[in-house]
Amino acid sequence: MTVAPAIPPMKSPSTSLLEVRGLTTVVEGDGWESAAVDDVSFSIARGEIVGVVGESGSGKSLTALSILGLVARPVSVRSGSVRFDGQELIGLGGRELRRIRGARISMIFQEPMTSLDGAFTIGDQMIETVRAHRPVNREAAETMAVTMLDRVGIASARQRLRAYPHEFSGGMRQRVMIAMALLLHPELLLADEPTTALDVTTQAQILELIGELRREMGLSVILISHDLAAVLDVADRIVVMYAGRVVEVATGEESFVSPLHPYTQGLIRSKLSLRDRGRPVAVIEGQVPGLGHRPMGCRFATRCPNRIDRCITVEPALVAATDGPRLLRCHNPSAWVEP
Amino acid sequence: MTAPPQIGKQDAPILQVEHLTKQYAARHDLLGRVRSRVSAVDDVSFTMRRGETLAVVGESGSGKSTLAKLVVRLAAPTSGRMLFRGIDVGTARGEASRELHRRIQIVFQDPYSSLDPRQVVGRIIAEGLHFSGLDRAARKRRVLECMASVGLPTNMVSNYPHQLSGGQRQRVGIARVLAADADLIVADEPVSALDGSIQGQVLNLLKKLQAERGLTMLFITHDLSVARYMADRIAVMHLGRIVEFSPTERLFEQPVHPYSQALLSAVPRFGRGDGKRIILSGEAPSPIDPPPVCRFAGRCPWRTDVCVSGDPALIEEVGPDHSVACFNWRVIPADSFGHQAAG
Amino acid sequence: MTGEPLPPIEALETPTVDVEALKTVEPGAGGLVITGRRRRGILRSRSATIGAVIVAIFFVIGCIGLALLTIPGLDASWKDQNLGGALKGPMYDGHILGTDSLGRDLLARVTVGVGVSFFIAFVVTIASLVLGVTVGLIGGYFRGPVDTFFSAMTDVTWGFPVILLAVMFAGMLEPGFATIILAVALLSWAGVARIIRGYALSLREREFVGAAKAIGIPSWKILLVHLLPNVVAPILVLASYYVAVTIVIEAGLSFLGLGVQSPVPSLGAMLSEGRNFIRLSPWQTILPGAVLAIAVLGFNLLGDGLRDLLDPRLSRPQG
Repeated sequence: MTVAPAIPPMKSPSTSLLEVRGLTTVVEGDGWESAAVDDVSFSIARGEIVGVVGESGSGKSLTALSILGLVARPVSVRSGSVRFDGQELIGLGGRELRRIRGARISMIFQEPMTSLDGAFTIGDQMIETVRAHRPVNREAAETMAVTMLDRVGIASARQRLRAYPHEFSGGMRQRVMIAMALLLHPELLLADEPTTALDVTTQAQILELIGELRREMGLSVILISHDLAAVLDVADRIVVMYAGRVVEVATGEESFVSPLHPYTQGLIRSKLSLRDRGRPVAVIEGQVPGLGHRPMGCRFATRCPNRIDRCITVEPALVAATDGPRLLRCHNPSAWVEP
Repeated sequence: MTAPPQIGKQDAPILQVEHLTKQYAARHDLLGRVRSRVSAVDDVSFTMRRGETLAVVGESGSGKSTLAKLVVRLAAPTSGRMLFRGIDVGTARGEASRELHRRIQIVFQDPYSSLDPRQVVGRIIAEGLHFSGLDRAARKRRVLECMASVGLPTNMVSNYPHQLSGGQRQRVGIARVLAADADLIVADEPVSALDGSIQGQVLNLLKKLQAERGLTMLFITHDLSVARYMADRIAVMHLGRIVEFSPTERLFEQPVHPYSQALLSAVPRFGRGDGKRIILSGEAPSPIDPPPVCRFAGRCPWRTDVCVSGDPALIEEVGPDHSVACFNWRVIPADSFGHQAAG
Repeated sequence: MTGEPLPPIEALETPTVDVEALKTVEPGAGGLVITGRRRRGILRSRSATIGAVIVAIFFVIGCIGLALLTIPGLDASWKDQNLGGALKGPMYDGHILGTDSLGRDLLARVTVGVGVSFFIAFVVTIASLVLGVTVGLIGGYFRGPVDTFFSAMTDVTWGFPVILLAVMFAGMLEPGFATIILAVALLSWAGVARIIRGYALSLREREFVGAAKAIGIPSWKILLVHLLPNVVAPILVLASYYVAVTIVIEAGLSFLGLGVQSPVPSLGAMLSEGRNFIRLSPWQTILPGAVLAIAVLGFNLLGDGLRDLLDPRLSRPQG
């Protein structure tokens, strides 16, 4: 008998579609480099929606870009592994990466205009996308485009193919963007703040749509957002990031009903305390530490109400919390008390 | 609920807005003549009492930001007028005009764009003292006072904006307004560009300053939970019009206009599975040359023939201090959240 | 639920990593590593450094050249002819870089030529910047009829051929410094104006300008205090490109005889003189040509480097 290998074999037997292990992405500056994404691990199963939540500087967007191999100097992936359906993506050549990106993994961004070319009709752009990856003729590609536009709720899709991106409103543009991303039936969708630029009424529609498409197409979705409340309803699991680190992983339900990390608790408490006009909002004092100014111990220590001496000197590890499969990075968690 | 602090009903209104309209040229013909217009703000009237906070809520394109610009005179109205403590803002000239500028100040949304990147914090705040007539030493003292009031360490006086965090920048913007000694502060989405953990700090600061100094605040926001926390009264705007005007708690308890109801139900709430969102089908119609019918009719689940026969005005008195621009408000149940569940 | 008492409030500040102090602290704390590769100021950009060195060298040469040109008694160095020793290569009889077709010392003539070319380029650049920045800022900030008028003027100027204007001036005045400076400056401001107008258009929509307006700051003051300082970076970049372009235009006009007149040398005039002897003595043409090319390269490198350096995205994050 041999000792079981520490790293699982190439073809992972689990249902996990994407495995991120120890991902570390650094930003190089003038005489320094800092890990903007620091030893981040999580996985996503087929058909699962994972919300990655964090404020600016948490490294959530860089995590997504690192997974897709879309970082460029002065940012680079320093270490770690990203396995997509058993295949390692880190270190993969540009050509192979491009074949996976777009076809099997696709991405949508906060501002659809940055990914849509204003000089071409959306029909042209969609047909080009299909034909770049599939050996089909124009008519077949057009049919695929119409079907998908129809699916995301664009009325009279065939006529709208001839429209330019600027002829759509913000919400409709985001729908076009989603249609384009799903055109080739990818297995994984990375959505970076897909609703942030939209109005509340439209936000609800887009999140609803993503939820439906997941059910229909068995799609896995990584939903990146700064707003915990926005993704709570639609995500199965929530990964909370702070200053480059994962600090808590829990189901959507748990993150709200019983958040464990003082940071998650602070965010929720602050939102909930908006209900009571008579009192000041509950706040997390201080601010997110910048890249060059992170504390040596726990990165949240400077703002944490539960801080003990150990928090300042020793950074806690991300370990299984006492109840169930939840993960938590905290020396001194306290039970959640709803305000 | 708590009564708004120290407002006597006998207080004269601080700001009266009467039939304010702002139109922009939407299309020009070949000769450059205006072919069609967009009414960003269309016949808006309201009155603000000293010391109160009025929140204006609505989606993008509702005209709420244009309204903010009109009130601080960053844009000139096409028609209508504003009276600030009885003085007509539009016709004020010279000394009176400068005084009005000083008294009506704005806090912007984007703390990155609202501070000049080439000026240090002290100079940015001192700009608010431009017409104060203070000498150098007095100005410096005043700048440091203002920094202390907003919770900025005074050693940041010679820092550049890029050395500050988003929350600190927004505090600088607020300090600039305090330096000008404003009475009426227009806050245009002051926290929506800030991180979640910072928003509460800035809201608390605004509330504290308002209580200390008796400021009146016109609070523009798309975030209803923030509006609820900050405001005494709320005006709901839709395509340039105020469609509902109500005391805050009343609006949240019984919103009357179907658009207000939809907005309220779309707020992401903690607590899942209530499944009672009104998902509005489609989006707001184009504001270019709108026909003289109710502008919400296209998206309204309660539409009847009367809605496309004319344009409802904000005259229906629903209750004390509560009015709505809707023909059918009597037949729409206040809890229509539940009746219009998502498909 | 907290197990232990909170540490005193000072502890909030102490554990924060200071980049400087970190070298003595545990490495890797907070995910930060000091790599030690560190360059300051202009040295952060290699092209800016090389460009700045070239420009500095030429600046010194140019100053010496202008001294030779203007200080009485020194003009013999580049004026004195010696037909016996004409068209010689480098190191001929004390002429380190050789002589031209009239036996004049090429080192002295190139030095003066650099001085003349640079002088014209600097004066033209400064004039174009002053005019262009004024027109661009005012037009872009105020919009309306002022902008329409300024833009029309800019467009007409933009399309006007510089040679035609130089010929006109040469006819009215006479060829020389003034002709060249007037002809080039009167046209080249238009490019500056276009670019600066673009900046002004975007700056006027920025909220800090709105804040100043809301306070009631007069427009001229907003232009001076808020707009001008924010276009300094593009102005610096433009300036270095404009010097380079003007050196080339001056060379072209002098080559055609519309510029400075013999015996005063400029790089273009020297090229023109050397042209007739290019088979006999290519050196006489190659030398000013090479000097011209290196000078232009220097300014372009400086401009590229400045553009990179002044790009805020490359500056250090703040905590």
